[in-house]
Amino acid sequence: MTRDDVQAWLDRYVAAWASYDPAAIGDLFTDDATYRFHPSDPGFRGREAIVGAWLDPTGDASSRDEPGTWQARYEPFTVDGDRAVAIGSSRYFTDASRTTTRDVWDNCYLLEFGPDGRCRSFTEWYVPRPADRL
Amino acid sequence: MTRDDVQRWLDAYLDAWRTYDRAAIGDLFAADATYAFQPYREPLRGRQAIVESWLESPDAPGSWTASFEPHAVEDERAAAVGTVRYLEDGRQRTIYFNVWLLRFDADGRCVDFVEYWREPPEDLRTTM
Repeated sequence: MTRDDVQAWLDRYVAAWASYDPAAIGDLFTDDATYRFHPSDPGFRGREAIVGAWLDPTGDASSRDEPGTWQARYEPFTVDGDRAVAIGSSRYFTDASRTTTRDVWDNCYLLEFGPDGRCRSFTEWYVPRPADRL
Repeated sequence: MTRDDVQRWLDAYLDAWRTYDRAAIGDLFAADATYAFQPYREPLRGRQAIVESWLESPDAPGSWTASFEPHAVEDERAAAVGTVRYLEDGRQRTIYFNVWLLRFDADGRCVDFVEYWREPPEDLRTTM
């Protein structure tokens, strides 16, 4: 993977999150991918389980992020063959007017890619910023 | 930096943490290095400040174990991943999962250090 490949993957990741389109989410991951929201999680295994976890994070769709209420940008920190680490932040607003920030998370993704450029291992570290650092 | 170079630096970091040897800690970092304990926090600036901070509240010998390895190395930058286990009376008190984002100078000393760390949910801290 090149830096450009990883950046393109990260941009598709954000677009898939915004659209909640199952095909777009599934297309990011290999059939047998593992996805961990937290480094100590056993993780969701397989594309279908990952798509399910994105679409219905708590068993139904009610906890999806509302369109326009968040913005996120991630970029590669290092790219090393089929492995990469990406960093960025995710900003959540109180509503779609995007005038008031509710939370900001600093994110770090540990990524491993398959030969077709799909992700086969995803592990996230997210760190909440204190209220005075939003 | 090669993967081996980064692994050697990580091992030297753990040795310096174990010994709290002032010269060994200082030798890890460039004179004008920055060191951030959280991605959003203002970093410490300068080798001297970093050494003093390490020596402020040292972990007792034998109270922790850690292992780190490079995940992705690219030119002068590296991301390392690892765990730190804190022990109490020989039993694990908790575990931290860490990522370190590192940038090195031409001498192989660290110029920028940023740490991300997570602790598992309470019921898993002693058993993971």
